[in-house]
Amino acid sequence: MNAPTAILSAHDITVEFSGFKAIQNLNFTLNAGELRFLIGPNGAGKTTLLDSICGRVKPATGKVVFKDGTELQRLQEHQIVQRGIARKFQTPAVFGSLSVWDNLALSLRGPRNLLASLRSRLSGQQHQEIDKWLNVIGLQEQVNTLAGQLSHGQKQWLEIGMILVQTPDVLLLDEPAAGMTDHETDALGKLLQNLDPHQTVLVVEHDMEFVRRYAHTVTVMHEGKILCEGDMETVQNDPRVAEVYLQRRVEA
Amino acid sequence: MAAEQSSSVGQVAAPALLAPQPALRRIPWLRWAATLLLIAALLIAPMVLSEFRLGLLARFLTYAIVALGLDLIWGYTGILSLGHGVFFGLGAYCTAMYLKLEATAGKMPDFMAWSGVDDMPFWWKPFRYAWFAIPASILIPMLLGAILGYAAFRNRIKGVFFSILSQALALVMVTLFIGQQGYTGGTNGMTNFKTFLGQDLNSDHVGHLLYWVTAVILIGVYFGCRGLVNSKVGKILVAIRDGENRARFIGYDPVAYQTFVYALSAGLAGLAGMLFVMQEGLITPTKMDILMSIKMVLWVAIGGRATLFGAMLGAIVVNSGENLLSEKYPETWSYMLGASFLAVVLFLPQGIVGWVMGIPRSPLWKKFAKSSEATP
Amino acid sequence: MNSAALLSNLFNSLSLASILLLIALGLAITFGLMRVINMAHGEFIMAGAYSAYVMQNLFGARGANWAFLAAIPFAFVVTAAMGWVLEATVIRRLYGRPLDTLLATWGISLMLQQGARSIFGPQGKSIQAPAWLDGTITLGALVMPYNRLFIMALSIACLVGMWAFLYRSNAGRRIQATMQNREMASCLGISTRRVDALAFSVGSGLAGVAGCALTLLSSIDSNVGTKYIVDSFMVVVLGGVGQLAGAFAGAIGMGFLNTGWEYETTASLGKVLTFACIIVFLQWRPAGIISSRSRALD
Repeated sequence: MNAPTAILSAHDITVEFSGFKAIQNLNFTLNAGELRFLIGPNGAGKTTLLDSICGRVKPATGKVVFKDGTELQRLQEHQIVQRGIARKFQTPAVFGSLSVWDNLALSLRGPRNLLASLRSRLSGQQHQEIDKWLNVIGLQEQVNTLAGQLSHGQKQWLEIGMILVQTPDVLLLDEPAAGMTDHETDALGKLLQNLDPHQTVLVVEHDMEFVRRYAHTVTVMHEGKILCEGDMETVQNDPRVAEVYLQRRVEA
Repeated sequence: MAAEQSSSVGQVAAPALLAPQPALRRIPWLRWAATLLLIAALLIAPMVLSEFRLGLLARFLTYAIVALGLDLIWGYTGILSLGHGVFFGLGAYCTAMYLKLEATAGKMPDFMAWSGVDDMPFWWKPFRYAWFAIPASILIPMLLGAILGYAAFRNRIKGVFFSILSQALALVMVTLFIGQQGYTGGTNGMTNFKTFLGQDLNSDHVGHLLYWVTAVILIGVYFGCRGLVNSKVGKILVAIRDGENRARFIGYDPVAYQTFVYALSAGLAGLAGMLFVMQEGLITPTKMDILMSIKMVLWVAIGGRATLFGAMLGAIVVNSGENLLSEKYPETWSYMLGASFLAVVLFLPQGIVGWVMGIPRSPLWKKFAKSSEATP
Repeated sequence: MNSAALLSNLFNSLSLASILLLIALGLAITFGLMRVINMAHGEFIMAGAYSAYVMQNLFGARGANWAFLAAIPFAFVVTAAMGWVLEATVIRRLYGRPLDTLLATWGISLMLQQGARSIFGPQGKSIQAPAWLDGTITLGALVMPYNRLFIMALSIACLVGMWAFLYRSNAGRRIQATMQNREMASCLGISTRRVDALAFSVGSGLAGVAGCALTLLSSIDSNVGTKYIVDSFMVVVLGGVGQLAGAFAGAIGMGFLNTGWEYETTASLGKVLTFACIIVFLQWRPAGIISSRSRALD
């Protein structure tokens, strides 16, 4: 294996919400092609870290660097997506009054500007592409159903599908397994493991069983900082991690 | 926490706007049948209506063009503009300036002199020429729409905030047009036109011609809008309506699409204003005020928002109704207008077309359909 | 601009600001806090103004001095009751559909206007101002009419009263809690339905008070509400929603912009320039003068 190359890195970023520091002087690196899990107790800043990568919040200080030096914090959300960073939110967000097919067709990789959209027609290849991912997410039957009428679990899968058809370089997934059955969670884990090796995945997850089974590298966040990083075993044996989680349990 | 808050806000608004698309898919022939019926009615109208009624209908057809544009921005993109009268008015005034100058053979119009203006202002002069005034009737509203839309959407001013701003635009423009009497004719507006491209505007022949031109343009605009709505851009607009931020996070810049549709719909209103003023022979600031603007919204709401046919139908039906009822019951007309707003929002949020489209889902129809299937 | 003109412009700006504040205070609650857009707010102002007219007729010519003072609480009660009915019959069914609420309440506003025309006739009605509001204070070149000063005092009193109600009383705290987190408030045993009704009534009642004040300035007809409604919504948009301070800042901003531009140009051009200034200002601060940065993006 080659030495890992960083595809995405956060340098000394701080995110503030009216005085409250959700993230403090955080440094973080994601290597090309890896499947990384991000865990930590509630309020640790996991979602905020995802938000500051994809442009939803602007860090007060620091920078987020993508690939060969693009500074993401200078870009708007849609520009970041166009560069190949896709994001799945905690609560599934699909376009309720569009069909499953249309949801996927709009998400296909391709130019996003107005002129291109005015001229756009789906090519045969793109049809096949959508069909392929419809199979993967198991919504072939619902292809003409309005997304708003899908069940919660189906919406989750649709949103995952909308991210996959973008063939992004980096996938940011916020609790993708929430509300899924064990069987579905398994399917999701395998899917993430078998993605194109160039694609990099960052998953925020609470389901520890899921993390244990599929994680190569785990990053633990606590109070807006990175507590530790390493493979599952290292992290589990880290006394600080135990303390953080134990503390929560005592409180609860 | 942030994600939950915002998404719950986004989801609350959605159900009200659920497009009646699924019903449309279930009965595809209905849309075609309705369209053909409308075209047939437009063809027959000149044979059965008096000159006066035909002239009224032609004016309502220009309103239908406004309604189509308004439906694009409201029904499909989810942005409620309460100032569309401004664009209609601007289009009408641009053409009116041309008509006025053709009537005076390029000399300074009379109302300017009455208001103590000595020289025709420089910006009036190009309106002497049809090749300038006619495109300007569409492009000036578009430009204003594009500037205002971009300024608002760029800052994510939307929902009721945008509606209020657009309403303020109507108020401000009316105040301006009334205040600048020397250049706009003030409250009285502009009238006393004679000819358009040398044709006598008051002749029956030209009246008929204008009807046909308006009808053809309306049908053209309708099919154009339908093409847009069914294209990828149309889907993106609906996506932006359903979840503006979600659209951002699959890479689309909502600002560009919203500005485009707003400008397009402003241009359509301008086009309608242009056709209107030629037939009405008069344009006053009341055609661009808040009341007019909100009536335009009512046409779309009653006809059925997010269905182009509904918007078009709404404009024609509501105005025909207004014409009949306000003649007979001028006192109670305001009550009826107000009550129809209330009724359509509370009881018929999808309008006439949404209601008709909903019939196949109603238990009664299902029963009927079953029984007719069972007896081959 | 010489110093006399400057002073009188300053006074006029503050006077306009106080009128706008009075009108926008009610909106700061119904629109700012509850996010309900009530286009009939202008007609509640109208109802308040007609309440003053009714009071005057009730008291007769000799009671004019007291009629106006009695009209203020009367107008508050009348319009608060109207607000309560509107909330219970229409607005409650439309929570979460802001644009539909706008259209429905606009329909109501049309009907109320026609109703006023049917009851009071199309002509403007003038209300005789109480004798103790006749007259002016003259400070050098600056002439300050009593009635303008009274409106300023009234709007400050309403602002302070509102502040005390919202931030110091139990009912106000319940309103705040409900508007900030409905589910949580309801879990804590607050009847959110009652809170909505209360908040909406209070906001509507303020419109009545504003209507009373307007009778001091000009005669009233059924269009009095439409004259002010758009401006007062702009005050809330300019100032920032959700806080009383926003309404205050917005009213001051609009007052100075409008008076200043009108002095420099004409009344009609002044309005256009004021509108343009607000659009430009929103480019810089989209959430208004007083904006609380929240975590939620939309």
